[in-house]
Amino acid sequence: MVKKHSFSDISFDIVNRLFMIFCTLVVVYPIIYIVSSSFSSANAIIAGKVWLLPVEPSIKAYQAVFRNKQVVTGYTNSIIYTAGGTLISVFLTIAAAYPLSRKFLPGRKFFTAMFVFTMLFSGGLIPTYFVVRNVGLIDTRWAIILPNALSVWNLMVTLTYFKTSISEEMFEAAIIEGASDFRILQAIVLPLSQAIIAVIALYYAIGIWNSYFDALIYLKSSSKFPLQIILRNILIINQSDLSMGADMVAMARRQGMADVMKYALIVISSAPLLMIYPFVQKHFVKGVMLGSIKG
Amino acid sequence: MKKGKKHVVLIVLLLLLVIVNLGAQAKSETTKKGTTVTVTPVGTYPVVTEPVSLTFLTLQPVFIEDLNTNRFAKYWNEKTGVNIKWETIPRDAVKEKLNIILASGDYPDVFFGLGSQEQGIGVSQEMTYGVQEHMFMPLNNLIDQYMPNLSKLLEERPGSRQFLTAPDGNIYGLPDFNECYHCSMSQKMWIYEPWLDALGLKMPTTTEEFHHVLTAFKTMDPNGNGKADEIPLAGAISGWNNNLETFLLNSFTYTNLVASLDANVNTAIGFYRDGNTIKTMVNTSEYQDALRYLAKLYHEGLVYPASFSQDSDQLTQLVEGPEQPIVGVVAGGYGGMFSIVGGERYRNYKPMAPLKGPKGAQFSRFFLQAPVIGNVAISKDCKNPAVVARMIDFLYTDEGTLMSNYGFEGEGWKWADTNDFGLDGEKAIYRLLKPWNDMDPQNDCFVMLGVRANTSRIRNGEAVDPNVDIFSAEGLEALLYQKTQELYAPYGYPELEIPTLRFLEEEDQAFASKRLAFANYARQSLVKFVTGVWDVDGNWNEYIKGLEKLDLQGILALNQKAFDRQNSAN
Repeated sequence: MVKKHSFSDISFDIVNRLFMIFCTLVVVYPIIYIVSSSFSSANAIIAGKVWLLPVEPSIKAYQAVFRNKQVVTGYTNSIIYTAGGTLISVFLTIAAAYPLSRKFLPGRKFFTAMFVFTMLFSGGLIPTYFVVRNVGLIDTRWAIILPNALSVWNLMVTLTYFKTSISEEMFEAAIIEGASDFRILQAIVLPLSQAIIAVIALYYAIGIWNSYFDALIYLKSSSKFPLQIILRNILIINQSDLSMGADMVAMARRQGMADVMKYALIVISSAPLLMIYPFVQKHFVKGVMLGSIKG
Repeated sequence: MKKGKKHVVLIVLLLLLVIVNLGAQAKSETTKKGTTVTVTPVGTYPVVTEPVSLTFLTLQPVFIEDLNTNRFAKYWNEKTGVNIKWETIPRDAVKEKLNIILASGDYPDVFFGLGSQEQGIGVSQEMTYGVQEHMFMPLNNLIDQYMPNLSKLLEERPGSRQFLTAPDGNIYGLPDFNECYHCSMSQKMWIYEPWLDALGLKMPTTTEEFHHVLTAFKTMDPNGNGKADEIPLAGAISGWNNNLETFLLNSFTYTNLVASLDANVNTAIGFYRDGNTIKTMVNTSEYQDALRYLAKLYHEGLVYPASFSQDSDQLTQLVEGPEQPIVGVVAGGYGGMFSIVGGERYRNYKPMAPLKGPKGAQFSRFFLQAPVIGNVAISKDCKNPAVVARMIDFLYTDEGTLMSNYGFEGEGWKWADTNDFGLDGEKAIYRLLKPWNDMDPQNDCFVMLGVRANTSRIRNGEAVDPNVDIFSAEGLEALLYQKTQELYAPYGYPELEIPTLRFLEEEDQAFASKRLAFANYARQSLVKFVTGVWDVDGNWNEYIKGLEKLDLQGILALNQKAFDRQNSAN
């Protein structure tokens, strides 16, 4: 049965594999470089000696970063915002997507159009600020979570998924059995939509984790700032104008440390999402296999 | 079925948890501004007869753990009797925040420490929020009445009051003084001494000798590895005075022109002051001579070509990276801009005095050490501006400045002994007990936040160890002070520099884009001439025509007008 591989087959395989190895390297190398740099000494980075493995390994950068209490506060805040925000966002998305996916909802087209309208037009910065201020959210943690809790884009993705991958027969069967809409949502739609829920949860989580501008505008107390703002502050202060400097000796000591800290900060801030990803990815794969009607 | 229910219950539970948690943090924000209180006579503390509370809007400083518990902030509060409620904003949100404050009317009492950076309160913000929108309060009378320490500092510095004054005659921001002696002449050039020794050459003093030295570096293999890998002269397009062209141009004509595109359009585009007349050097024959010289160096391969494109990190890698040193002469504000401070190579680069040009020109580019403006502004809604003025004035005393910089006496610093001497060799004022540290968060002082009187008297009054090795990391301040005084000060002429000019709104509207276009053209042409894209003689007339087309005369006249206005205002 084994067919003899022709020359072109073999060469295709080889080229293909080489190409894949190349692609992998392109993706993996920057990550390795950043991690290695974050564990290297400042002098090695200044002199450009780091290219693959850490040179003169040290954890000074991480010590410097974590000695800063604001980083720890920021980390805690970011976790609160991401966990809480993702829950609320996913809840709202499903709560909006399910009714809009049912054909007999009165005014379905109107509501959908209203949602889509906000994708194209918004009130702008100052009016939005006024709304947030007048409902009393300024300088509260809610200001980070609520104003952008629902992403219409994610809503559309979910809505489409509900409409296309859950067959109408399932709903009819459930209705004949006497199930209410809540029952249908719980018992049929949610279990069948685990894959899409995992995906939008990841979208939301990444969005909130990386978000920055809302905190910049709405928060006043540094105890509520998320990690991204703290990181930016640290990076900016380390690049501050030298001619303003108060003391050259300190400047000299700081030189280089800024570079190492930059890498350590990148590692620290992306670590949580990198760690979450493998668990969510399982759902990505599984989700494709799931289906309600067999055969 | 059961599974689905469990999911919902879980989600609802978690939601509840989050809501409770967040709700606990949300506080009502209804405290309104206090009433006016009486201030005590100037010079006495506390500054108020009854305690008062004020809102300070400030940056979130990385180097301060928490302003609410900061020990200097507490000391300041207790001493003055003013309780500060701190509101913080992230470092690069100042612009947005000011807009939002203006639009929403949520004014704090004081804008504190928002001046000293790019996005902060500067000349144009004072124009917008002060002159036009009246969001800031004019401070002229407050300074005269309640701020004797600041008044004295302004009096001692002729022109500084005019510098602070907006075109409508009001002062909207209080200054942060930071007078750094070596920064005022920081366009420095450094030469690798072992190479001079290896080739038996002397430190060059003229452009002719410099050309000779560079040629020798290139051809005579000073690092002795048998390869022609030497780079005689290198610089960078960004970084603190890493640009090599300005140092050399100043051997032909005084100029502050920098090829770097991120250079300040207001100060570094080729204008200078001759008495009370504003002039430019970019269309003179001296400037043409300078370009001819630079183009010659470049053409002969003596200048590292990437000097006009690489950044300062790449320059450092060029100097520190290779096994053997390959860079002979390098530009930088201090050694750390191109090497590792205290390292082997750093120690061997020696500063070079400005070179004497063929017609005798020899200048140090001068950086006026003007105060940083906009670091304290008072909002128009503040009920107690006099209190603010009184309490801020404490920061302009020696004690206030030192405490704000270094923390408590006896911990961060102490008054100098009689046999301590400062950087300038005069009697010292204080001695630091801990090395200066603006990187690790602390909670004892403000480090660099707000206003201070870091005058040259204070900065040079820091006691130094007279036996310190000036080429070690610890000796850096001493090295820069001594070498600046010895090599650069003889050629520094502050009277050639134009102070930062304030333009009227209509002038800004008419000229802002013109000035930018002119600045870009001047810089790009400089690089084109040096790198040989344009011929210094062949394309000169075309270049002059380009300058005229960009309204050089108009810009000159505008600068003259603004300078006259500022100069005559009192």
